[in-house]
Amino acid sequence: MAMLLRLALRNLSRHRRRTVLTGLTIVVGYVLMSFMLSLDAGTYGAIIEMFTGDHTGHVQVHARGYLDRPGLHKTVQDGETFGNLLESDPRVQRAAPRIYSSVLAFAGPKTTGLRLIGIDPDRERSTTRLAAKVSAGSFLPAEGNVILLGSDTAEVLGVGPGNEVVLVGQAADGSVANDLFTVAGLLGSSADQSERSNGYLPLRTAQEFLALGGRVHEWALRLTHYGLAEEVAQALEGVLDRTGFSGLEVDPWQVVEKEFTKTMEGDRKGNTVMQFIFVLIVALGVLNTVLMSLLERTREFGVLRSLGTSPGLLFTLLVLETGLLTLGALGVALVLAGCLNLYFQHYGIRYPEPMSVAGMLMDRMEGALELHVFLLPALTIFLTALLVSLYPAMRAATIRPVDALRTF
Amino acid sequence: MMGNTLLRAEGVEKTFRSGAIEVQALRGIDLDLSQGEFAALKGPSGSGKSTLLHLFGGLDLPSKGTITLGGTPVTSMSGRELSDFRRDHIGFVFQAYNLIPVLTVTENIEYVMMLQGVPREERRERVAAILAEVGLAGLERRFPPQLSGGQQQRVAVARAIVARPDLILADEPTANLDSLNAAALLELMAALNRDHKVTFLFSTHDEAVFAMAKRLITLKDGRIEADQRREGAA
Ligand SMILES: Nc1ncnc2c1ncn2[C@@H]1O[C@H](COP(=O)(O)OP(=O)(O)O)[C@@H](O)[C@H]1O
Ligand SMILES: [Mg+2]
Repeated sequence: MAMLLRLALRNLSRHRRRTVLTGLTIVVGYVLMSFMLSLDAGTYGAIIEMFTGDHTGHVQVHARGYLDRPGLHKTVQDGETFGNLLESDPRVQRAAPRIYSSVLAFAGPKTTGLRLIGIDPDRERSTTRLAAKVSAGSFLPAEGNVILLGSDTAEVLGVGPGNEVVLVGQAADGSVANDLFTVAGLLGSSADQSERSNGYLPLRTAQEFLALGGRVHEWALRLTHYGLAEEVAQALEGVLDRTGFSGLEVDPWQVVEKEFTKTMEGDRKGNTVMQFIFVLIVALGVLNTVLMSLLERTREFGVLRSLGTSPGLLFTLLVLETGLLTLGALGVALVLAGCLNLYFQHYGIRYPEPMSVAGMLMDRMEGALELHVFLLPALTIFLTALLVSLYPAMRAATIRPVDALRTF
Repeated sequence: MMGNTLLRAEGVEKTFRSGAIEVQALRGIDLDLSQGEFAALKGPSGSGKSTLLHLFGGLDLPSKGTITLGGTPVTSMSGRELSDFRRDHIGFVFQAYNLIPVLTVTENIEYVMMLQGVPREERRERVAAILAEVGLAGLERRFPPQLSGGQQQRVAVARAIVARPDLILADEPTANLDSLNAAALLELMAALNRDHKVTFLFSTHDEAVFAMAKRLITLKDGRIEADQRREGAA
């Protein structure tokens, strides 16, 4: 084996130029692949964080069937105990309860439809970015007849912080719900329309208003990382089942936001084609080297075979050469890609102007240093190189010695 | 003088086919080679010398006939068995480019012994001894391209003999050498034949070379035309 290794290394250094060129092909292919994966992971990671941080969260808990067909009566447990149960998983950072309903809002002669959302202000603040969207007035207190309005709605109604609006809707007990609320603050701006027709009440106020004491429609969970959503959802479903909360479903953001997920996956597919092209370039580069180095050494293989070298040993030698070359090049490439990705993780690439990616407005791309960014291209290139060398190596190892000896 | 029969060829024929063209390289060879012989195979280009040496060394199989070496039928071996057979019983010396260019003189000579599983210490001793014997002491660390043609052929002979084969087959080993170097190589081979009792069969069409052979087998058109033994040669 020591002899094989020595032979392989010396054969590689015999044609230094060719070895270096092939190595460079591998290095460039790897660095580009890894860089693309890093940007992809960074960019889509940022998009997902931005999207889920807006309102959805990473995981949601509902009564079974609520997601497909929401209803006022399809409710989940409220309360600190339940919240703490959800947060008992260390991967869950915060859980926020919500109530949804549709109401009419009146301010003097003006009226408009409103999507009414009841939130726990404290919990919501550390689950989504809602508190940061307050553009006038202040965020909600824990209770009281106060409301946060989307700035568009406020404009339609002609109200601002301190003014009053009347809400009319239907309560869970069938009665008509109506009450007077003071505008605490406004949400968003003409540029950010995500809250345009939303109105937020403190959770307890909303529960009283809609006669939903102790019940909510949804718990939104913020995790330590969006990538954990699927496993945490599955784990939580088990926990809830075991603790006696049946009839609930726990879904990751991918299920809650099917449209968004589909658009994004479609977007990402384009990148796979580029990745494939890089692999192809690397494969052709390696194949070229392997073929050239085999063809010009046919006579030598004849001598090796005449000395009693078995086809298996010769085959091992030839594949070893490719393997060593690829490993060496990958080592160099790993360092380069590491530096490049680290740089772009820190500084990113600023778009000339904000660009819409998968429906989200992004102003920059950045890299991410995830394991798969380095591992995936390394494995792909290593296996491709070995695969590409297998057939030529087998041909060279099994050529009849007499035929090999006749070539000069 | 004659020892036991080492190699026996009976009715050996070899036909090469490439498409519609058929070449009958060997047309019925019967030949016995005894232990310790120093025999030359002579004949014009295309008479079948290389083909016969390849068959004797298990590099190829005949179209017809049988070859046995030390009683073992070479002609019924599988590819894998032939490979081991060459490693353990045959030494080859070709006309040129015998050596592995990326291995030093020592490593080239060691190579077959490594395949045979000879321990490192013994390999080193045997290499040192054979290098002294073929007059190449001091060139251990050279690579083949740094050697003259004569030196390269000596290394090839050293590599063949160091593995202790039963039979060394040399296919025009002197064809690329000037007459001085050719004579020196032949003398070396004759000396090794004498001292190691190893059997040599070499092909040539050089008068000066086959003059040193104790047995001269003449091939013509794939047949043995003459087979002369000469006492006192070499
Ligand atoms: N692999 C082969 N394919 C076709 N013809 C061959 C092959 N090897 C040898 N021959 C033919 O067989 C004959 C004998 O060749 P060879 O043994 O090389 O002769 P020599 O070594 O005496 O010059 C020649 O006519 C040669 O062309
Ligand atoms: Mg010949």
